[in-house]
Amino acid sequence: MRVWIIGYRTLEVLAMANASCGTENPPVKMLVCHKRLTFRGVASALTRRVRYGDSIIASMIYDTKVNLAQYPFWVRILPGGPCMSLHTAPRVTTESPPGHEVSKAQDSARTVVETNPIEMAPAEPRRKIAVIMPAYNEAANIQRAVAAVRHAVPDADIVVISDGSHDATARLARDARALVLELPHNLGIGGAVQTGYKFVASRGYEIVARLDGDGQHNPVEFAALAAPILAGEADLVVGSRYVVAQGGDGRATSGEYRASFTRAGGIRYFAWLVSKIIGQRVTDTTSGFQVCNAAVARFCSDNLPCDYPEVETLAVLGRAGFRIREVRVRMLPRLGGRSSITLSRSAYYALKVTLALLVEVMRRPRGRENGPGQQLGVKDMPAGETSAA
Amino acid sequence: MIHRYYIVAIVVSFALLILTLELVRRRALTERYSLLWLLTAFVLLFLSLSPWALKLLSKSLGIYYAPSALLVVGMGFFLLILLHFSLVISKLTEQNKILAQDFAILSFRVGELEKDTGSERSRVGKRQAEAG
Repeated sequence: MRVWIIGYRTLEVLAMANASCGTENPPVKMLVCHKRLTFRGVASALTRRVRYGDSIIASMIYDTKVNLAQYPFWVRILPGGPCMSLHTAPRVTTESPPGHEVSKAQDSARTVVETNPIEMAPAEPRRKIAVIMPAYNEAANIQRAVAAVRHAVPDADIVVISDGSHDATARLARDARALVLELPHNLGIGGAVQTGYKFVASRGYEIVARLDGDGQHNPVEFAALAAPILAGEADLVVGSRYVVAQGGDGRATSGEYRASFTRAGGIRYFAWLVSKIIGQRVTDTTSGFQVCNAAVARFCSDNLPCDYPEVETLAVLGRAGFRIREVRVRMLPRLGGRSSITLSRSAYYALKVTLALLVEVMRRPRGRENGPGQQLGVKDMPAGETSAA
Repeated sequence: MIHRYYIVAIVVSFALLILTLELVRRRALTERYSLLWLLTAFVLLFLSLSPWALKLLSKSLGIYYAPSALLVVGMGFFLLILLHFSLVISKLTEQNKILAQDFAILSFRVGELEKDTGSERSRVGKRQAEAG
């Protein structure tokens, strides 16, 4: 069995390759498209090379007007956007775009495929994935951000937490078919994220991603972040803007995130401090792009520090014995709206977080399973489900 | 010899005591949060009514001017009250956060349930319409 990975631009393909190789290490073939192909173009490239039983992971803008029946059925196709599958087992799915009537020919073709023994190889059970997106007055970005996540991770439930927004954030997110939790008033990013973790922990998701609702995180990179967790190698994976990719030369690629001088200094300072506290090198402590497993989600639903959570979360989780890993990501420029971080707040931020970290060191490490009561129907899971590194 | 500041101190601390009691009586202030205020008022009243106690206190604190000791004691109590308030506020913030979070999750669930029962109802309605 081989895995084909088709994507637009090398980075996207590599992210997907990372995801699929993390689980089984199948022979991987890559197809890097340097312009956006239509579905017809991809399909014709594939029909010549792909064998039965191969699995295809593709990310592409498809031309939805082609007749889907002519093309391989084991390609998972989502109308109108890039798609990605985390499963290495062959998938037999065709999805027609909404309003696109399934012809009789397609129906019969599908039946044939479904009774084909090779094609019916047992697929891996679906992992339940949730994506948490805190959003405060992000009406300008939220729909695009939700759509981007849906394209990148079609299996995921997208949970948008509207943190007491005064604009149409919640309604727009609901229109984009996200699950929307509406906080009655503004709790700050930490409180909003924790709401998401509580919600997710009570519903038994296995993989929980967290990214910001302003579109700065590229959800296509979710796969690369989720890979170590799927492989059981880490409990929390942080998308870092600064870690040097393994085997890479560390040179800045185009579109590299460049922070202002003061901001970079602050980030480096916190990276140093947190590294010292948890005894492990971390490079980007302010990244809001994180993927974690169910144990971490459960832990966070009880113990998440509230005001500026990213830095403290790392320290708390590290001290509780969770395995943290960093994966390189790129930050996209904001789609619209304004960042909530201003220069005048930075000094306060640095002081407050430093204090919180020092106080955290004075506390005993919080145990993993002794949170103060599992609230709101959170099921108790067997202890020691994940072992500390 | 009665200094004027003794009178002022007596009046002020007595007023504080009465005000606190009155607020508690009207249920504007709960007993729980009035305790520290009452204690403050009582101690200030006691010290201003008995100059010898104030003298003793100021001497033991090394304060030359006795009325300053009154201020010091008052300030100590106010610090205590402020710290107490910070504790209460922290606790309230935490409780409020949990309430807001659970409210958000529960209202989502209510929405889901309503959607489910709504579709159920419409299905039942359709079936009844077909039967009728």
